[in-house]
Amino acid sequence: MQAAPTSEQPKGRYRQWDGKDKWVVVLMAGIPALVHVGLIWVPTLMSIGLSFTNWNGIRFSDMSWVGLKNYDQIFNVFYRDFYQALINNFVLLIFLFIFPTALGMLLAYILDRDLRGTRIYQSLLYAPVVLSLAVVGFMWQSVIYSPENGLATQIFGGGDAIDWLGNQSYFVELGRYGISHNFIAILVAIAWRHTGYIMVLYLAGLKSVDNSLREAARLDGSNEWQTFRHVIFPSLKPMNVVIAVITVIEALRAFDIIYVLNTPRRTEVLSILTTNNLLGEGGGNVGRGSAYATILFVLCFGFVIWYVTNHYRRGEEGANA
Amino acid sequence: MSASTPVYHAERRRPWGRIIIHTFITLTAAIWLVPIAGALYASLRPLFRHRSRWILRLARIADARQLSQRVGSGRYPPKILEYRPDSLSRTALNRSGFRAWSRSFCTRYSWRFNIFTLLCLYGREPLAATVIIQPLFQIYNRIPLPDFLSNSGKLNGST
Repeated sequence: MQAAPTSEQPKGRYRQWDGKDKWVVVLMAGIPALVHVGLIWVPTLMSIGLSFTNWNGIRFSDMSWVGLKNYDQIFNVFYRDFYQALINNFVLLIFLFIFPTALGMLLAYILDRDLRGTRIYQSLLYAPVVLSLAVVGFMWQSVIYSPENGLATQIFGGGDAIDWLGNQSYFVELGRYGISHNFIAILVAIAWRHTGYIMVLYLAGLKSVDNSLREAARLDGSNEWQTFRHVIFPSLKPMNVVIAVITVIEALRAFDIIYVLNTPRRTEVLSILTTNNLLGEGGGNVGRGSAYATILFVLCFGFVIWYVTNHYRRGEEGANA
Repeated sequence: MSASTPVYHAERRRPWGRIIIHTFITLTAAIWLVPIAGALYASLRPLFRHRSRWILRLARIADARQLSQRVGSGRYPPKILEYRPDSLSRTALNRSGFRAWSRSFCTRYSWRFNIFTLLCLYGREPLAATVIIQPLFQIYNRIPLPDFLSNSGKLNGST
């Protein structure tokens, strides 16, 4: 027989906390949350608000409300820049999903086999991630893509100078837009850095895969590819979600490397347009820059929320079924 | 016979497979190292050419002082505040154990709450770093600074 609840028993989840505990929790959560809101969310909301204004960024008194004019200009006046940047963003996204993710997964799968010197290989492949993105950009600009003395020029140039980052001609034409040669060169530099990141994430995922699953697959007579395809890869589902979200975020907010290597044109992405309008040459268009930033925010965050929500909802439905 | 079955003993039966894997991973690691090695070599080239002069200059403290004056190291902390306030705040939050606390807190709730937390704490992640700079810069510019941080009383050093 169950005893009737007495007045001393806690009724709620946190009823056992006394007054002092509550203060500690409030301070621990409240102060960082206030700092976070003050430094991150207030400016973010201000940016969204600024996208409806015309402002040169100097005096608040110069600011005027223009409604959706900035968005109208982006879609009807500066549409070529905008759509080219959008195409570049999506090309980068697809490229990151295909090459660095596949290569990172392959490297992680190989390094998970406890090869001799596996830690050295891991460190070497992860080394680019430790470097600042801007440093990576400068490194590739001066060491690899230098038109006369760069390593890529020495290997592929046959004695001639190649302007890797200056070649604006389209590699793939998509009507009035396309993917330029210099953007392809930038993609290679981004892949160099991103692969190590993906490799480490997959390595962490592979460590959590139960070895008995592999053993069972072997005993059933499956080969290496079948084991990976039908046993290992499905076990990595949670890691795939994390990598998908990270890749989308990295692709849409890509800035540093592209900004460093962005010479002269046709390699812009949305974050570059934002910066150019806010601070760059011909800058002072805080309103339009903020409008670009808001579009980027909606694209990126909308996708992430949609994807993560769908994933967890499917998981919840599967568990309930 | 051992009770546990080694998972990768098929590899031991096929030495060629192991050789191919080792060759592939070694080549990939070597290729990955090329840009860093190239940058290192480029940065050390003047050292190789004028080694003795470089070592002599290193020993002179006056050079270090001159360098410090040139880069303005005294003003470096406020400059960091100017450029990356979001990173600083996030690092401070993470180092203070806030991340561990929030993680243990979130795991007790549903995924809906987790997404809400993700929105609140990491919502800025998808934003380009430059998005919040402009309003922050305007706010900071209106905060008066003491003389030892800025001789103009402002963060950006303008008069």
